[in-house]
Amino acid sequence: MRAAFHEGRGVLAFGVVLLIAAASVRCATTATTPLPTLTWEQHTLRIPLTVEAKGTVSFAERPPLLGRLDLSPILEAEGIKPGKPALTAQAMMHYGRLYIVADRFRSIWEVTPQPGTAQASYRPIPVLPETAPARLKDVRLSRYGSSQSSCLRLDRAEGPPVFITSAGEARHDCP
Amino acid sequence: MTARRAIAAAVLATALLAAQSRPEADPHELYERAAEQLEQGHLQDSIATATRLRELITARPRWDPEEVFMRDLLPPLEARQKRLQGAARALDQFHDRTLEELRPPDLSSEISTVRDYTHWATTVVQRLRSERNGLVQKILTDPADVAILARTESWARTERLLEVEVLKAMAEKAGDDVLGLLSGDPQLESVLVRFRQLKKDLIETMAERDALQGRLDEAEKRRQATAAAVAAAVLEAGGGKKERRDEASGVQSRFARLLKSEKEALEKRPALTPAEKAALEGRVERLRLANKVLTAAAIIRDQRRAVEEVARAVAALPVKAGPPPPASGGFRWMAWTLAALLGAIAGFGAQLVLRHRRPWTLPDRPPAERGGDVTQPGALSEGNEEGADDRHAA
Repeated sequence: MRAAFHEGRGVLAFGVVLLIAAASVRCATTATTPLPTLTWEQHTLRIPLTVEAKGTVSFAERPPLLGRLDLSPILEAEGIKPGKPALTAQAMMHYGRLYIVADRFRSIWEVTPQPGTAQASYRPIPVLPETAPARLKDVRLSRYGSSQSSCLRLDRAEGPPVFITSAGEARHDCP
Repeated sequence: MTARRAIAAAVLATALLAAQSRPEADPHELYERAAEQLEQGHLQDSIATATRLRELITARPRWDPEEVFMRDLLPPLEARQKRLQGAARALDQFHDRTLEELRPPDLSSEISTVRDYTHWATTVVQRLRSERNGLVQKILTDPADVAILARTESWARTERLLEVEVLKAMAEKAGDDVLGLLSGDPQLESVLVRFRQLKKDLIETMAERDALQGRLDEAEKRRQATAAAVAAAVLEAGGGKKERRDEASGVQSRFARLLKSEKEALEKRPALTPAEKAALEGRVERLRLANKVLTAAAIIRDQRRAVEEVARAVAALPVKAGPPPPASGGFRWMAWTLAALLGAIAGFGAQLVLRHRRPWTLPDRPPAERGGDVTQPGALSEGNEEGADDRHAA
């Protein structure tokens, strides 16, 4: 009985090992056959955007981008209520991500589209600490750097420029 | 003063800070500005901005990481600028050439000539317009480029040529009479409107010019009158009519002449009494003052040297020994009184002598002679008395 039990356990273990091996082989096959890639420098020039009363912006006036972007969560996080006078924001596509900033913000906001959906993830890249009373003023987005690794450059009044690398990191220089 | 300087320094510092805090123009900004200027038809400004952009990205290539501006955006913009510049240059040449070649037909008073003028103007404007448009079409194929060219100064010059210059040339040749003869023709209404506008502008300009000339003349008259009054007051000289007439303009020469004549007269003068010399010295002082006043008023140039020559001439005059000092007022009065008394005494004495001589002379004379000789004092007295009685009776 005991021997049969031990034999059964061995078969089960062997089956598990086989399953793991099969799964590993499947995964290994997926990882080793990536999709082919091509070069796509996905950037835009600076896009001025007027924030509507609902907190949304429209790209329709600046083709080829179209569609709407809801900035309400970002405005709420910045403590800004859209209204009159209308807030003007700036957006710039940099390596496929959209960066948004406006006067009275404290951060640059990185918006990463989720392909195949009408959603995008977002995160702040702080320029001024949250405790600072000052806000960004006279902001301007540009692209800066070399063709191998360009940065998003934020010029502002009363402060040095801030550079956002292709990895989304904020620096005081562009590598 | 210190507060003002402090305020000025604060303003300057604020301006400098504002200028420093503003970031320099980036390629995108320059590109957008150049494109906007081009759209507005400001060709030269647009070219200057594009040049600035090219210089920036050449000198500092990190502003253009993937050479998007250098390779993709700037070349088409510059090409468009070049096309439009070429077209604008062609329009300028067209304008200048047309103006040179514009020859309206000769004027004649016949009404048929007026029609000829009308026909000429219409034909020329139409021909030039189609020539201009053909020229533009030859250079610019894109309607957007043509639209931009239509906003340039070169296009505006050709428009003025077609709308104004041709008609102006005709108006200069034909005169205003044409205006009256052309009226009533609906086809030429626009021509007439333009003519009238030109005429109105011309009349207004001439009226303004006349008004300004009138004011200028009036101001000149006032200036002349003021200068003349000052000259008359200062020089204290009458002068002839002619001299008075051009007093204002000739004060300089008049004063010089005056000084010269004074000097010449002084050189011929014999020795003076001290009183005369004192009077001349006073006159020299007045001349000095006149020179000072007239020079300060910018009516004459400074004649100090001539005045000093007169002063030296006065100083060089010899002075003779003076006459006895004049009698005092009291003595003179007494002398006159004494003389009057003596005269009165002499008069009474003479009458007394004559009255005592009359009885001796009457018997020696004949009666006729007595009545007729009126030269005798006694006879004259009697006759006079009778005559006087007769006159009283009458």
